[in-house]
Amino acid sequence: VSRGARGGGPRVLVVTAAPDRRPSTELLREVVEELRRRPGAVVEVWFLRGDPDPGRWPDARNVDRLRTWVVPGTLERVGLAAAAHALRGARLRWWWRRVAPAAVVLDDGLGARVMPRGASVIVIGRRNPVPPQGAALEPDPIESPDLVLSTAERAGDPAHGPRHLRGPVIAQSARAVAAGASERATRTREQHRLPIDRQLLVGWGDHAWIDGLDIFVRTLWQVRRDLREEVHGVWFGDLHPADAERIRFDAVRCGIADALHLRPAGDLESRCCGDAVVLPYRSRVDDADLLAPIATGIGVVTFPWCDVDDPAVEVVPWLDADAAARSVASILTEGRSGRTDPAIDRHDVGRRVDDLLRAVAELVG
Amino acid sequence: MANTPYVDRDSTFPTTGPTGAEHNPVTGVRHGVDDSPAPTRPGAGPLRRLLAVTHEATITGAPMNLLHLLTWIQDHTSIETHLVVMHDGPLRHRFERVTEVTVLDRSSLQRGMSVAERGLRQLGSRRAWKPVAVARLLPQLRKLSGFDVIYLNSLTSLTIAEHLPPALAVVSHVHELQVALRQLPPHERSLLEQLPDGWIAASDAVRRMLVDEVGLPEARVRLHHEYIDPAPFVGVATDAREVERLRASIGIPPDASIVMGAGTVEWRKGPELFVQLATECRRRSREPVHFVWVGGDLTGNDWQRVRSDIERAGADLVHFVGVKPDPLDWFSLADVFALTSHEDPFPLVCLEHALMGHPVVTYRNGGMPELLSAAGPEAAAGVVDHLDVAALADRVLELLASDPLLRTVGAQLRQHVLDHHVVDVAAPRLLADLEEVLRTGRHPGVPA
Repeated sequence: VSRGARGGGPRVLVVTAAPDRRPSTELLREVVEELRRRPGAVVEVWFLRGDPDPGRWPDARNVDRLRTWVVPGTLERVGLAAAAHALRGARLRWWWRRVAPAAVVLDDGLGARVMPRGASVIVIGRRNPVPPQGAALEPDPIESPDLVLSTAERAGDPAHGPRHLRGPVIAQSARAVAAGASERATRTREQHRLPIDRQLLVGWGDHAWIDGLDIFVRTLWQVRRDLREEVHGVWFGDLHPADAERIRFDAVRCGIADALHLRPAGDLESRCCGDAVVLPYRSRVDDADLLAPIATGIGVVTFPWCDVDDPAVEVVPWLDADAAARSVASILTEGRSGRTDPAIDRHDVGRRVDDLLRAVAELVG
Repeated sequence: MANTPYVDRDSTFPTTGPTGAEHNPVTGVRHGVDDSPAPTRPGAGPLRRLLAVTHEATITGAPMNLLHLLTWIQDHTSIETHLVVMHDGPLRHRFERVTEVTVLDRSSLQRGMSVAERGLRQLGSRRAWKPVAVARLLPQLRKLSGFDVIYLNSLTSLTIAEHLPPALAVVSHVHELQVALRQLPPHERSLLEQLPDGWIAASDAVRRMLVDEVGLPEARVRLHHEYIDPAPFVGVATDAREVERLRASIGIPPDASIVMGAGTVEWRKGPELFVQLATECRRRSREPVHFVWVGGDLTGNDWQRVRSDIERAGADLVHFVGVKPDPLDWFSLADVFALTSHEDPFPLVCLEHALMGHPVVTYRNGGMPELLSAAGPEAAAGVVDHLDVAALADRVLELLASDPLLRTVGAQLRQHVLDHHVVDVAAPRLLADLEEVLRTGRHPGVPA
C-alpha cells in the first residue's frame, strides 16, 4: 500500500476515458475536485484518450499518447496488433509503476489487462458503459472490482461485486443550474425561441432513433390530445438533417408542427426550462443526464434503462408512448413539485466523496 | 400568354413562345409553367412509340405499375415501347417479355463513372459531374430515337432525362411523397418543374404535393391511382394445408388471428410502428393476435433497429419473415392488413390485400385513406390519425372481434379495387392521358 508523497494519505488514481463534457464525466470532475479539497488524499487523474484542458483538469494527463503515435498505428495496420498492444502495455506499466496507487478509480467500460497488482479497484458505474469511440483501451472489462460507485444498483449484475454504493449524485454544475432555474426558465425559453406561455416538454439527444425522438413526438401528440391544451415540446440535439426532416414530416401529419421545436444541443440550463422532461431513449445513457432536471424539481419520464430511484423520475414500459403521455399529463397537471430541495440534499456530491474516501480507507487498510 | 402555341426548336411549330419561357431540353419544346390552355400540337399524331424509364427493376410499387402498363399496351395496342432500366433487378426478365429493354451501366467502366458522378455530386460539385454523366450515358442512349412520348416513371428517372433522345412530349409519373421529394437533388428538382409537359400523380396526396409544394400548374397534374393485375388474386383457392404449414413455420397456433404488414424495414414503411401496434393490441386484448411482416432485408441496420424494438418491448407475437419468393401465400394468412407507413403514396400491397378480401387499416397519411374512404363507410373507419397507435389497435381488435365486420369491409374494398384499380380499367385511362399530353401538351380542360 502506497501513501501519497505529498500528504501521506492514500494515493488515489482516477482513470477515465476522455475529458469530454458528458454529464457523468463532469460529475467525475467534481468528485475529483472534492477529493482534492479533502486533507490526506492524493489524487491523480489519467485520461486514455485526448489531452485534458488544464483549466478544468489540473494535473491530469493523457497517458496513452501511444494510441496516436505512428509506430503502434503502423504495427496495427500491417497486422501486428499484438505487438502494438504489447507496446502500449509496456508504456502503461511504466506509468503504473511510477504512480503506484493504493486505489484505482476506474471509469466504467475500461478494461483491466494492464492494471497494477495490489491496488484496490473501484469502478465508477455508468449507465452507458461504452466510452466514446475508440476510448476503450482494453478489450476485457474488469470483472471483479472491490467496489462499485454508481447512480443505482445494478440488479443481477454479479460482475460488479458484493459492495455497492448507490444513489444519484447531484453534481455541482447541476446544483448551480437548479438554483433559480425556474426563475431563469423564461429567459432560457426566449433564448431558444420557445413559447413562454405554454407548458413545455423537454427532451434531448443527438441520435433521433436511439434517443427515441419518434416516441417523444408521439408522446407530445397524445398529451395535447388528452389534456386538450396547447402543450409544446422542444428537443435539443444536433440531429442528422434527414432525421430532423422525417420527424418534421411526422409532426406535420400529426398536426403538431407548430408545437414541436427542434433546437441544437443545449446546455444544462436548457434542459431545465420546461415543465416535464421526456427521455424515451432506446439505449442506456448516463443517469447523470437526469440530474439537472430532478435537482430542479422537474418530473422526468423515461424508459427502464434508468434506475435512478427518485420520486421525480417515472419509468414507463419500453416504447409505450401512451404510458409516457399519461405520466407527463400527471406531471403537468401537478406542476413543478416541491421536491427540489430534498433531491439536492439527498444526492449531494460531497456525501458521495465521503463515502468514496471511507471506502478507500477500508480498502487500503 | 394564353393561347400561345408551344415552340419546337426545329421550327416544326411556330417560333413565338411566351416571354420568359423555358426550353425543354428533351423535347426541344419551349414552355412556361402557366395554366393557360393550348391548342392541339401541330404535327402530333397518335401515340406510336413510347420510351419508358424506370429507376430500378425491383419488385416494388412503381416498377410493378410500369410492368402492368407495358403489358397491357403490348396486349391491347400496336404502340411500340422501349424501356430504359437505370438499375437492374429481378423484374427485368418480366419486362423483357413485353418490351425491348436497355439496362444502363452494365460494364465496369460505366459503373465506375456512375460512382464518380455520384461522388462529385456528394462533394457539392455543381458542374463537374455533368461531363461524366454525358460520357457515361450518351453512348448507352444514342441508339434510342424517334419516340413520341418519354414516360419517366418515378422521380429518380429524372436523373437521366436530359440525356434521353428528343421526343414530342415528356411525362413524369410521380409515385413519391415529401420525403423522397425533399431528398431530390436541386438539379433534378428543377428538371421536375421545367422538363415534363405533363405530370401524373399516383394519388391525390401526391397531386397535392406537386401542386401545393412544388407549385406545378394544377390542371396539368393528372391523377391516376396505382393499379394492379388482379389475375393472381381472383378465383384462386387457398390451400389450407399450405396455410397451416406457413403458420406452423413461425409458431402461430391455428386459432390465432393474424395482422399483416409488408414492405422494406426502412423508416418510411414504419416497421417500428408495426411493433408498437402489436404491443398496443396485446395490452388491450387477451385474444391471441400475431403480427406478421413480409418483406425487408433482415441483415442490415434497419432490421437491427426493428429487432431491438421487438426485444425491448417483449413483442414475441411479432414475426418478421423477410423477403419471400411466394408472398401471396403469406398474404393469404392475413385477417387484417395494417399499413403503418410514415408516408406511402398508394401502396400496391394494400390493393392486393383488398382483392383478397382483407380489411386494411392505416394512419391518415399518403394515398391509402383515399382508397378506404372511397370504398365505403366501414372501410373508411380503418383510417386513424397519424401515429395514433392506440386508435389503430382499437380498430384492428374491433375487426378481429367481428366476422361480419371483417367480411363487410373486405367486400367493400375488394369491389372498389375491382372497379377502379385493376390494370384493365386504369391502363386505358392512363394511356388516353398520355395521348392527350402528346396531342396538346396540356390538359384539354385547362381554364384560361
